[in-house]
Amino acid sequence: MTARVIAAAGLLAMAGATLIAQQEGVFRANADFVAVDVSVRQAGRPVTGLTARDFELRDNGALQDVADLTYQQLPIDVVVALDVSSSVAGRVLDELRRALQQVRSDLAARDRLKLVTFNMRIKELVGFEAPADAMDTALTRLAASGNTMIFDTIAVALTSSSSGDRRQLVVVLSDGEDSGSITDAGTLFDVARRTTPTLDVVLASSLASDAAVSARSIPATEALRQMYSALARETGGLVFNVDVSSALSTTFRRMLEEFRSSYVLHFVPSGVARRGAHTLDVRVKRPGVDVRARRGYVIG
Amino acid sequence: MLAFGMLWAGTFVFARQTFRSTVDLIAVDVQVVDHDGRPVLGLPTDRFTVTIDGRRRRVISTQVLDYKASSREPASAAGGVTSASAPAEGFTPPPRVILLAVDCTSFGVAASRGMLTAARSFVARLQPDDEVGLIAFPHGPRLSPTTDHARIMRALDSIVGERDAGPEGEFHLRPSELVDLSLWVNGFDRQGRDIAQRICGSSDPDTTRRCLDRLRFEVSSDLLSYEGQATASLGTLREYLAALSVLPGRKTVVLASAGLVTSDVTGGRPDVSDMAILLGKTAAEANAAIYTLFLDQSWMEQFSAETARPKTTLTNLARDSAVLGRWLDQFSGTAGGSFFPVLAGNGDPVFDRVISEMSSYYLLGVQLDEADRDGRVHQINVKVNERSVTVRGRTWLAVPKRGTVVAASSAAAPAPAPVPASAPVPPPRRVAADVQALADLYEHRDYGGVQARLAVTPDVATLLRDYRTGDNPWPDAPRRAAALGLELALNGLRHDNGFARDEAIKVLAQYQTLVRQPSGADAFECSWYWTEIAGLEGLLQPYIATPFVNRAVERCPKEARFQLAQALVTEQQYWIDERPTFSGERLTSSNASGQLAITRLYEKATADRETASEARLRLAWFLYRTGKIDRALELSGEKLDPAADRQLQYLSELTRGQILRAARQPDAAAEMFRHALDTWPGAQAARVALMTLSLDLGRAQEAAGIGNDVQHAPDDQPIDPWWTFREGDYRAYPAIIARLRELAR
Repeated sequence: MTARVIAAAGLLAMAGATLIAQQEGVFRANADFVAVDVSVRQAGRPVTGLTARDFELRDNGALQDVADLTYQQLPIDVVVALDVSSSVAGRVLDELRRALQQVRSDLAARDRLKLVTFNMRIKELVGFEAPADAMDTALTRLAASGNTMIFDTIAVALTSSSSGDRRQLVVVLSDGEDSGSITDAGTLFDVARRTTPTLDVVLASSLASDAAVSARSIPATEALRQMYSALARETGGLVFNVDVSSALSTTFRRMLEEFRSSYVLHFVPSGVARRGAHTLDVRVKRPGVDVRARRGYVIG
Repeated sequence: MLAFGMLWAGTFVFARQTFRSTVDLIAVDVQVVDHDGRPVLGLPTDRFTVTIDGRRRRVISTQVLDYKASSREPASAAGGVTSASAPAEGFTPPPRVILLAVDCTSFGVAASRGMLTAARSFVARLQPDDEVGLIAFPHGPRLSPTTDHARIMRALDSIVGERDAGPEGEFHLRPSELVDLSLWVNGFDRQGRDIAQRICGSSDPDTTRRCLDRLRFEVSSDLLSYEGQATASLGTLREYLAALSVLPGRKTVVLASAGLVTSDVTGGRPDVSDMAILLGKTAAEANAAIYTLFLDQSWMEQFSAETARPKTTLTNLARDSAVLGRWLDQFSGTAGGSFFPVLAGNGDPVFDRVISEMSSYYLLGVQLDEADRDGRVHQINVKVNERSVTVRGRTWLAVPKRGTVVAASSAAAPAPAPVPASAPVPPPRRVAADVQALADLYEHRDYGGVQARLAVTPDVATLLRDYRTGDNPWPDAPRRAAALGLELALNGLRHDNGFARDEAIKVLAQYQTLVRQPSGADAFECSWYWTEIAGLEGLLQPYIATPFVNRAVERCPKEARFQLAQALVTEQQYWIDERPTFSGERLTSSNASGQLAITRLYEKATADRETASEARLRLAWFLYRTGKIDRALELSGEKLDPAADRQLQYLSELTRGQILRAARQPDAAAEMFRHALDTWPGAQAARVALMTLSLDLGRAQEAAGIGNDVQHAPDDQPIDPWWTFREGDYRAYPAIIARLRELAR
């Protein structure tokens, strides 16, 4: 299951009267268009063939008109942020390399992949526009060292993601323990509400304990797991707990499939104050389906 | 002050007499004493049974060397003696060699005075031509055997008990409790678990959990500290005993100790049994008769005010005594020596007994089998067919190959023809090849080479153990050995291998003991601590660092940085122990007493100008993290010391910005972040802080731009000081270790 919301409102409002061109249509200026990624699944499988009328969307409790709906039409930008601190090393790192190659092969031609690594330093290793062999070279040269600034990395990845004409998925792989970010948990939630990408967090605690839990870092505590889970949910994303030996590639494939098979609802907020925090509630008028979507956004 | 470098055990080289073997006999010296320690004389040859490796050997002759008579003429045993060769004309028995060994770290100052008085009395009663040596280990005088007894007396006067109160700790664990809890820490023992529950049990599960965490930490820390201390002490003694092996004839070693905490249960810790046994073998190979005085202080200390928790039962006290004396018993047993626990007094009666027992001994002429002459070490056993007597003799014997020039103690006797003395031959040094290779690099200041070699060393745990238990690669430069030991240990602590980390901690604990200057810490000792602490702070291993920091504060009280380090590692430990809870989109912790303790430690560190600015900064950040924004705001607003370095200035601006933001002063916060970026251009943490603040202020494009800048920072961008903020003095580690290396030269 994957859910994602794009709060285009934030971007559009900031851009003023900019026209946002998308492949399947043009949105008018002078209005806040909000794009919401919605995952609808039944018994673990995506539910297809839904129309705008099947959805009920509320913004701060006010029922909204879904102006447009798309399914598997928008290109995808995937940002993978890899923890290369000393707490993830050896066999773990090998698995990460394999999983990343898997993602690249699963992307469609229009989709893009960017690789960011982080320990203390947050670094774009391979950009969206880089040729395929750049990724291979970068993966070969990955080496583990340093501490883990995961909160800072998430903040940077969410804030500096690509433009609003593409759907955006940020995937963070780490053992989850932060060792000194300047960003705290509260700020991270603010960032999540003010930015558009969906965040999936892959917690590789079993990887770390299996291969290389250094004394610098311990696997994520229960509180941290709860925090990542709440943070990912806020963006319509999920937390995955994986085992290094088998599950990484499978997990990546599942994340991408769920993200790709989400509906994107567009609406112009009405009946609510423009500025401030907006809480979203998305439902599907069918019994027995799981619906997952971003929980809110902020303007101003 | 006695220089650390001058006192290394490895410098002992004793004069050696050599004799040429002329017959296929070996001289075996044994003492035979009755129940009261009086020598039993007049035993005929046929009463002695000698076996080598369990196989009986023929006793050809016996002679009694009687030292009660001033002339020291050999006296034939009663009952007729068959000698393989008669004594040479003018032959006199060799002088007695007596070594006093004082385990300084086991004695408190007061207890050591009493024991030393008894030791002086003992020396005064020896015969003028007895050769007396002295070692106070791990620190103190070390004198080769001499007839200058006055010198020995003066050296005894200079010895002071060095026992600390034990590792600093909250729980003041008794020795036996520590042993039992060592099993609990490893998840094995029910008894240990019961003790832990008794110490930490409370009605509040959270309080109990925290207490158990602290207890587990304290036990682990104490165990490693004791094991390291033991290795330092016993290692020094072992080197001294090994050096004794070049002296001919039988030696008497009188070891005085108040004991060492050692496990008395299988699988328990501290475990120094391997060292005790090795020490015993070394003594046996040196042909040393061992008398061990265990001056048990535990009964006296029952009433001491030092302990916070009551010691209630006699059973516990007896167990504590057993735990303290165990290694001495093991050592004596392996050496074939005698173990005398002394529950009260200064040990005078035992010294009397030693004098009585060594007043005469038998010299047996034992016929060798050809198979014995292989140059290897063999087990030897001497029995006497006589009731109620005790035989004290060597338990190990190395018989040289035929034709080898050997020391009299293991060569043909009883009446060899003396030949001119050869040059002193030091015992072979035990330095592993890997250790020597690293030492060579270090000696040539190739510190990069040391690190490079360590990086490709497959088994760091073994390397560290070899370093710890082997001989000092530089007998005359122990400071250099201490500095290299520290660097090796810090490297070992970076490994994921638990054995390597354990060995590393033992190395640290060992050298902590060895760098100690009895007369007070000097520049080298304090520099060693500073390097160690900076390294441990950088490794974020406060549970290891804490006992060393506490020790550094005690040893170098004028070093303000150690006060600050104490606060820092306590805070590091706090964030590890405090499993935060997640609620309201915040990760919070609520241990008020822990927070107060850390606050007080930081406040203490603000008293010294050298550390005041940094202590205030760190305290402000700690208060911010624990939700005390107003106080944090106040502290962070105080002026920085003008002498503060650029890193500190940057950190001050960065943290002040975050605190202002939490106090809902976003514009002031943004300004502070920009100041921080002026101070440290391109700093990632300041950029990220400004990015999230800009986003919060609705300036998403600006925020996105900053975020992109962060990801595209050049590789040669200087390290952001924030990255090492949690790691205290580690940010200055290169300069700190460079100073130590120079002082170690």
